[in-house]
Amino acid sequence: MDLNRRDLLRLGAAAAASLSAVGCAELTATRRADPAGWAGKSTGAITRIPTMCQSCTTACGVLATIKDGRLLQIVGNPEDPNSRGSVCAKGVAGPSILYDPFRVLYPLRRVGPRGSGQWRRITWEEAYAEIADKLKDIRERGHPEEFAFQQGRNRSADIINRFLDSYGTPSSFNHRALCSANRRAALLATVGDSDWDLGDYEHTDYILNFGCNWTEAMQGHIPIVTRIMQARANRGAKIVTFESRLSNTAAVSDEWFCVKPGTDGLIALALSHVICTEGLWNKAWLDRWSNYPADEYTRHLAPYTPELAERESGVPADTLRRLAREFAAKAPRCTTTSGRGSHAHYNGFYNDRAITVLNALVGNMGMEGGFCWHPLSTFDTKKQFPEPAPVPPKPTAKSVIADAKQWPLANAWNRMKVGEIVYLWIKERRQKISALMTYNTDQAWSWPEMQLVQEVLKDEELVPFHFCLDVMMSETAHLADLVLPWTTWLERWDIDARPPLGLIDYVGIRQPVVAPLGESKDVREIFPELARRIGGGMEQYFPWASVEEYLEQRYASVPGGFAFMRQHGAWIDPAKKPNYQPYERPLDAEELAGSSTDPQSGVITKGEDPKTKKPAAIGIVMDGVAVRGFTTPSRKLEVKSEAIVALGRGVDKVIEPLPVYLPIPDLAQGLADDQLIMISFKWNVHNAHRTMQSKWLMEIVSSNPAWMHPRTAKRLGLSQGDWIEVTGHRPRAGDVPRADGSPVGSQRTRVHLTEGVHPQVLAFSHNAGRWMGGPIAAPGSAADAWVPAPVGDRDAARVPWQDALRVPQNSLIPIYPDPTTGQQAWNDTVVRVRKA
Amino acid sequence: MARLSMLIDLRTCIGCHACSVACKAEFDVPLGTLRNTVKYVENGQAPQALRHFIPVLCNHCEDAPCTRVCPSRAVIRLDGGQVVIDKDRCRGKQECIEACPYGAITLHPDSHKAQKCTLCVHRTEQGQAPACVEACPTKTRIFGDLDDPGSELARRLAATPTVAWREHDGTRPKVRYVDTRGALPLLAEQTMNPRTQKQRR
Repeated sequence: MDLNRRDLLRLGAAAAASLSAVGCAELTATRRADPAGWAGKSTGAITRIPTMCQSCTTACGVLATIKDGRLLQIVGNPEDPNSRGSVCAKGVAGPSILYDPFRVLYPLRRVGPRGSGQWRRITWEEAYAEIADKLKDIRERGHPEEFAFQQGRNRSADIINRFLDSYGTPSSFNHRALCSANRRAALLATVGDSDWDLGDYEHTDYILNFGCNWTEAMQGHIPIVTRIMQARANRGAKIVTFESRLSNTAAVSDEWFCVKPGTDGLIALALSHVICTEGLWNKAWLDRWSNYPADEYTRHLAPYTPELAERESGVPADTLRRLAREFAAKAPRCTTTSGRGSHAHYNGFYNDRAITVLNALVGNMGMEGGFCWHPLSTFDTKKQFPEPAPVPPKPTAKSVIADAKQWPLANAWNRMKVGEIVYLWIKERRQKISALMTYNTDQAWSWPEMQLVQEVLKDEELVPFHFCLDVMMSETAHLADLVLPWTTWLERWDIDARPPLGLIDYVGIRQPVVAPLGESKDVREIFPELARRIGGGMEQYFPWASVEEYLEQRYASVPGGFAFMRQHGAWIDPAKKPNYQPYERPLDAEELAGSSTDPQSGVITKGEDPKTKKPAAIGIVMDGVAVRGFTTPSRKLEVKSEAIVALGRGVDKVIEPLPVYLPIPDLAQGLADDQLIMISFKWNVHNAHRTMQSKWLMEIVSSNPAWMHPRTAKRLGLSQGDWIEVTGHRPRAGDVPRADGSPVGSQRTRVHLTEGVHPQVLAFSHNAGRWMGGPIAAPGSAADAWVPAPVGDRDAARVPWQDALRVPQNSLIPIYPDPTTGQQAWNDTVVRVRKA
Repeated sequence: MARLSMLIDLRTCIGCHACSVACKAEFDVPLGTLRNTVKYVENGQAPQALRHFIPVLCNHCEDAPCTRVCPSRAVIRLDGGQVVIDKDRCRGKQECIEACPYGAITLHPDSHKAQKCTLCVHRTEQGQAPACVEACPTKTRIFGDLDDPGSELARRLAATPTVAWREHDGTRPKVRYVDTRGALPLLAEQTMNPRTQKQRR
C-alpha cells in the first residue's frame, strides 16, 4: 500500500491540546509518551524476508516480517508477478500456523494399539532407522510398488518424485480427482496446450462464472480477484454467476442465478444454442480453427434450447437469451470461469467441455481480454530450470491403483489418477500395500467415505506400516505408527510458481523465514537421508550437500541466481510477452527443418512422440502458412474429440465426442420430499486441513451448519437453528462403485436458513468436524484426543468455539467418480433430512 | 490538528478477512475479542438475494461517548483525532465498553484493561498505513486525513457520496463508507463485540 506522505498523520507537528467540538469532558493527548498498549508489533527493528505462501495452493508471494527471530506478520510481496503484493486472510494468518500451540514438534512412535492415541517421543535417528529398515526390505524383495505415497497438495514435487522414482515405486497417490480432474481433462481434450485456463481477467469486459468461487477457494484466488476487480473498476466489466449457493463470488457478481446442481453444462449449451442460431458467433474464427463445422454444431445444439435449460436449471429462458447476447457482444473481451460448481459432478467432464467450447464460438480463445491459458502450470522444469543430474528413471513396476484403467481419461494426458478409490481398492485387496507414507493431507478426514479410509488405515493387515508427516496430530496421523513433525510453509524451501495470470511464466522461491521449530523437518532433508540409508543405488540421486546447494543449481539461469531469489522472492523475464493467440504463431525455419506435412489435414509432424511412439505433431498449415495451432490431435480447437471416444472404447465405455448434457442418473430418479442434494463448499478463511490449526482463522469460521432454503425448511417443519439428522446415500444409479442407494453415514447438525441456497439443496462447508489436533482445530476434543501440551500461548486455554457445530461432511459423501475422468462428484450426494 | 479517518468502499470488498487477521497479528488481539472485523449481512429473496461485506472498526467518533465516561480519564484523543486507551491509566472499570454504541471496545482478558483500535498510530506516525489497510487485497480501505484536501481520502470523499454506520446515534463517526447497495442499515442492530454487562471485579 503506497501512502502519500501527506496522507499520513502529522503527529510530530504537535498541535495544542484542543477540546472536541461537543464532549467538553473529552481529554486530548498532549504528551508524546507512548503508553504501553498503543504500539503493535510491526514497527521498529524489523526485517522482511520474501517467501511464498502455502496456506492454499495459489502460492502468493509474501513478505515475512521478522523481529528478534520471531515471525510477526505476513504481507504481500509486490515483486511477485502473479499476486502483485496482495494476500488473503489465510496468508496473513501465517504466524498462527507457525506458532500453533498444539503443533507436533517431535517424532512420535505409537506404543498402544493403532489409533489408541498412545505415543512415545523418539529421536529422528530412531525414526529414520525404522523407516529405512522397512522400506529397504520392501525394495530388496523386488516389490517397490508396495510402498505407497499418499499426498494431498504438493509443491515439492521435484524432490518427492526424485525419491519415489529412485525407490522405484509407481504407487504415488494424489488428490487431483478430488480437486479438478474434470476441468483439466475438458481443457486438455479441447485446447490441448494447458490444463488450466487463465482468462485475461484484467482486460476483460464480461465474465460468465460457472460455479467457480474465486473470491474464496479457487486456485488462483487473490491473483484472479484483484484482476477482476481492476477490470470492473477500470473497464466496467460485468460478472454473471451461476451457482447453487450464494458464494461470496456470487455475492460480488452483478447477477447471480441460483441453479440446480449439475446443470451448468446445459446452461452453457443453451447459451451456445442462442449464439449459433442467432449468428452471434465468430464464424470466421470457427471456420479457421474449429475441427467441427459450425453449422453441424448448431444442429447438434438444436435440442439444448433455453426452454430446456430453464426447466432443468431454473434460469429463465429469456434471461439465457439475454446473457448469450451480452456475452457475444463483448467478444473477444469476454471469458468464462468454471470450478467445482460446474465440474465436481457425475457429468462434470461434459459440463466443462460445453463451457470451454462456448468460448470458442465467440472467438475469444487466446485473445486479449478473452479465454487464455499458458502452457506452463508452474515454472519451466524442462528447459530453464532443469533438475540437476543424475535424474532417476521412471519406475518400471506397476500400480493397479495409480493406473486405475476403468476411468479412461484419468491418466490420458497427465497422471491425474483416481484418488477417491485408493482406500476402497486397498480394502478390496486389488494391490498389496506394505508401507504407506502420508504427506500433506488428511485422508481420514478429507476423503469421501472417510469411515472406509479410517477402517483401512486402522487395519494392520491392509496397511502394515504407516508413517505420517504433518505439522499437527491430524486424524490420519492418529492412525499412523510413526508421526514425523513437518515444517510449516514458513520453515521450508521450494522452487515454485503457479499458472501465471499475467500470461507470462515466472519463478518464485519459498524459503525458511525462521529456523524450524522443535525438531520439525521437511522432505528436502528427510528424503535424501532416507535414500542414503536405504541405499541400493538410491543415494546417487541425492549428491548435493545441502538444500541450498541444490537450489543454487536450480536457479542458475536467473540473473543474480539463488541470491537474487532469496532477496526478491520472484523473477520474471522482462523480454517475455503474454501468451496471446499461441496457435497463430508461425513456425520458423528451424522448427520446420526435417518436418513433414499431411496433405489432407495439414498437420505438420516431426520426429517421434516419446509417449505414443507416433510422429509428433508440431503445427498445422493454415491458408498456406505453417503455424503452431492447438496442441490437439487435429492441431485445431477440438469441438469434436475422437481421441476421447477412442480412449473410452478401450475400456468399453461410451464417451461422447461432442459436448453434451448428461442428466445425473441418480438425480433423474427424482427426489422424495425429505431428500435434498448435498453440496460442499469452502469458506474464504479455510483450505483443506491446513488452516484449521489457525486460531485466527477458526475464530472467523469454526462451524458448519447446514444451509437450507426457508421454503424447504417450511416444508420439513423446520425453523432457524433446529436440529436435524442428515443421512448421505450412495447413488441409486450410474456407472460408479456400489450404486445401490445405500446409506454412507448420518450426522446431527442444525439448519441455517438462508435465501442464499437452492431450495433442493443442503449446503455444508468442509471446514469443520475434526476430532484431532487440539481444541483449536477440533473444538471440544481436548478431553479425548491426544495433543501435545500447548506451548506458550495464552489463547490456547480460551478457545471460544468449543461448542461449535462440527460435521465431518465426508462421513456423508459417497465415493462417486465421474465415469470418464474419475473426478469425485462432490456436489451430487442425495441426503435424507429429518428433524432431530 | 488532523482528523485521521478511513474510507471503506464496499463496492470492492470481497469479505476475505485479511484485515481482520492482520489486526489480530499486529496486536495479538486475544481470542474472543475483536478490534476490527468484517460483518456479513444478507437481504433480499432469491433470486435477488444479496450478501454484503462490511469491514468495521472503531469509528473514532468526533463526539465519542467513551471519552467522557471513564472514571480514570484513560480514554483520550490523540492529536490526529484517534481515540485510544491510555493503558497506564485504565483501571478496567469498563464504562467505555458500555458507552460505545459500536461495541468497539473490549476488556483484554490478560491485562484486564480496555483495548480498542488505535488506527495503528505506531505505524502511521512512521509513514506506514494501518495494518488492516496494508493487508487489504482489493484496496477497499483508504486511510488519511479528513482535513487534508489533497489526500486521496479527501478526494474520494469529495467525489463519491458516503455514509457512516449508525450516523443517527449522533456520535459523529469518522469512518465513512461508499455503500451503493444500502448495506449499512442492515447492521443497525449489530455491534462489533457484544456489549456485555459490566462485570466489576
